[in-house]
Amino acid sequence: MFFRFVIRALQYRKQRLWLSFSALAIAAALATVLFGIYGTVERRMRDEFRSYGANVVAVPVGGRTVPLELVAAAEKLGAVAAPFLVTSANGMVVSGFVPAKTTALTSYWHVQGSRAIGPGECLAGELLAARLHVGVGSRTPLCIVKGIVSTGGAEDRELLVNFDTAATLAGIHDSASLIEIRAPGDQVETVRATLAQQFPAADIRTIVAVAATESSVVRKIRASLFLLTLIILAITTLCVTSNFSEMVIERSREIGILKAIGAIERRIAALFISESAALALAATVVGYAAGLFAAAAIGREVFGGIFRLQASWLVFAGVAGVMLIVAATATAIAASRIWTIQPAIILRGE
Amino acid sequence: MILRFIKESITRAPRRKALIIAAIAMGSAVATAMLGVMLDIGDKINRELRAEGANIVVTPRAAELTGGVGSINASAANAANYIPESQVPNIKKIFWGLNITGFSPSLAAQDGALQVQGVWFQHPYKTPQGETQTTGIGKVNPAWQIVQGRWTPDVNNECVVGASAARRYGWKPGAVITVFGSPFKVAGILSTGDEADDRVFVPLERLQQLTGRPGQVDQIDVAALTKPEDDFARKDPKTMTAKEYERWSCANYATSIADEIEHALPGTQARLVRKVADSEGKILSSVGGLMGMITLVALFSAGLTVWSLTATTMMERRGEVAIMQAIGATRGLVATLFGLEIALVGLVGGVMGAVAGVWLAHYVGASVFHDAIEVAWILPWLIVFSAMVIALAGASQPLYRTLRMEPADILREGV
Repeated sequence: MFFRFVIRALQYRKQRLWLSFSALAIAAALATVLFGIYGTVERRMRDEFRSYGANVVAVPVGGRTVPLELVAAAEKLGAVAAPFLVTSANGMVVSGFVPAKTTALTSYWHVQGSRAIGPGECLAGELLAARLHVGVGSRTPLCIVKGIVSTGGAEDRELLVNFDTAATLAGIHDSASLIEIRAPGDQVETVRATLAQQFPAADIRTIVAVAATESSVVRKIRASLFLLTLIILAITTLCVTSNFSEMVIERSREIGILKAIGAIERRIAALFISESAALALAATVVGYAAGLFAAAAIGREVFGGIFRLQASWLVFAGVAGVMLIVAATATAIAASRIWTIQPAIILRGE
Repeated sequence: MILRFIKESITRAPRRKALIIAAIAMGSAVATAMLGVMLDIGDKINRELRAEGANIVVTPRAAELTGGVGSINASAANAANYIPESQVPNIKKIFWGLNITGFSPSLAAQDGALQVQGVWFQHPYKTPQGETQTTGIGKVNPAWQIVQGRWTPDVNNECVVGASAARRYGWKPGAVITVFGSPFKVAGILSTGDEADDRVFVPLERLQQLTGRPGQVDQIDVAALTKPEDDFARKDPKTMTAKEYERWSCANYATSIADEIEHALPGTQARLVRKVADSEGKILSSVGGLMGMITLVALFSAGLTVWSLTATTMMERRGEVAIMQAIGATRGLVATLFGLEIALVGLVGGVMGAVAGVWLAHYVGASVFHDAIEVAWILPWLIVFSAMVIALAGASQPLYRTLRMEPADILREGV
């Protein structure tokens, strides 16, 4: 009987309900998108910051080199590390690097020609190439130029060769003159401190400009998203609340009839609250599904990559929780009128 | 008559009217706040990213033309290889001068094993607008920290030393060190994590005297607020048509700013620091995209809410329409009356929402960026206008349908 009443009530006022339902579903979808984006924004922004390259660097303290084991130690800590060996030959600055390890740290290099080099091949810095009048494919006494690098930094004046070639030129083994490290953005200090402890012979420095900017920008974007999410959710909640109260209030006559035929107030209130809860749950399911698609589309549009639906029970539970609480409170507040309604007066048409 | 109708409609059901106005106000507030923040956040993040340091480096062009295969020509350091210090402030004279937040000229020298750099610490200069501003190394590299002591205010016998150099030589703030045979007092120790840690920074003018290169600098680091590069920005200016070139140089791409600097300082070449310029482009466009998308979603849902609310209300008032028609009102009159009323409700709600939204945007700016978010003056007006249009659009369909129905049918239904 109770459930039949609920179901019939939902069926009877189809159009009115349909409108409320869509408003609620929109609110649920909005909440899903916002929760989803807020949950992943930090990781995604930190990914973007990877293109700044190293945020920690290891340089020699007293001697001229740092041990190569440091690379493996850094990698074990979840960081990306690449050794460089700077020496000179024929009056040029020659810098040795490991192409495979360096790629991830130097995505900002603009290379004309090929980036991959084998033995006897090299990349020439843009300014050096202009000075020597060499281009892609030219031969120098040291190597064949496979590409021209433009970075706006020191590399522009250097000849970049394989690490082993530079090591032979310099007569150095198992050490580098510089190791660039990219630690995960939120663990920079931990990685630096651990490495500094393991390798007292090296000076491990945090590159302040990179690390500090990353954390401040990520923090600010997260904070503004948090505030905006809060504002949107608060306002949406208010709208939903008024929607629910309205649904009870406009049915005063119905309440009057129920009371006239002998229903107790508590039972009527329970009826209305179950109706609202059913509506809220249905709206959550539909809104959540729509929100998932919207969030996936936004993710692909903004951060690139594939269109991926990231369903999460946590987000669903959050959205459902918010909707149910709003529905229950709003209805309960409005339902307080049930007690004050006088059937005779309402039914007479006042 | 019209006024009385509206007045009656509001006084008869004040609670219901208040609800609609509140809902419209909330929708407008969300829209205004989101748009306000979205339109300004790129600029704010751009300023934050300036902490990465210079994104454009200016060097003398002559440096690249000397020398030959396999040797560094000694003339690479000769007198022709410099930028006159007096020309440096011309950087601010370019079209995008206001977007240049700082510039720092320097002169490098080597005293034995010690790398010395002459720089401006806090140097006053005259802007093209005639104001006096200061710039220098700290302005271009705001993330650089003095770990001990302080920055020096361009006093001739003071210097700032990098942390590694300080550790190697055991220098402390207050110590007096000798550079090029001249004494300098260490004002502070600088920690940056990059090459600057190995250097000694002395006032530019003093180094020019000591090395016999008066009025010369060999590098200018420039920090500029730029627009993320798109495909158009990457085109080679030499292959553009006149029209394209004009569009290109009128956008604040890093490449076009660099191009303008080369024109403003003849004999130099301005190059992008790829690491900084490329990465900030990526970050700015993803922040912009993210905010844009969320704004779109929020606007869409705010619009739908207002729409569905007015539609519902209109539907509930079918009885009123029917009675008016039954006592002889024409369709045009009924439509006008309801239209005016809804427009008025939209106006009031929109204005309240826009005011609240501007306030919210300011609040976000103040609490996150400690800086006001600038909301364009036209934005609140647009929002008010949209609120009215959406409210009217939401009401129009149910109203139209009701007007075409027989009043008797509606009244018998007893809505």
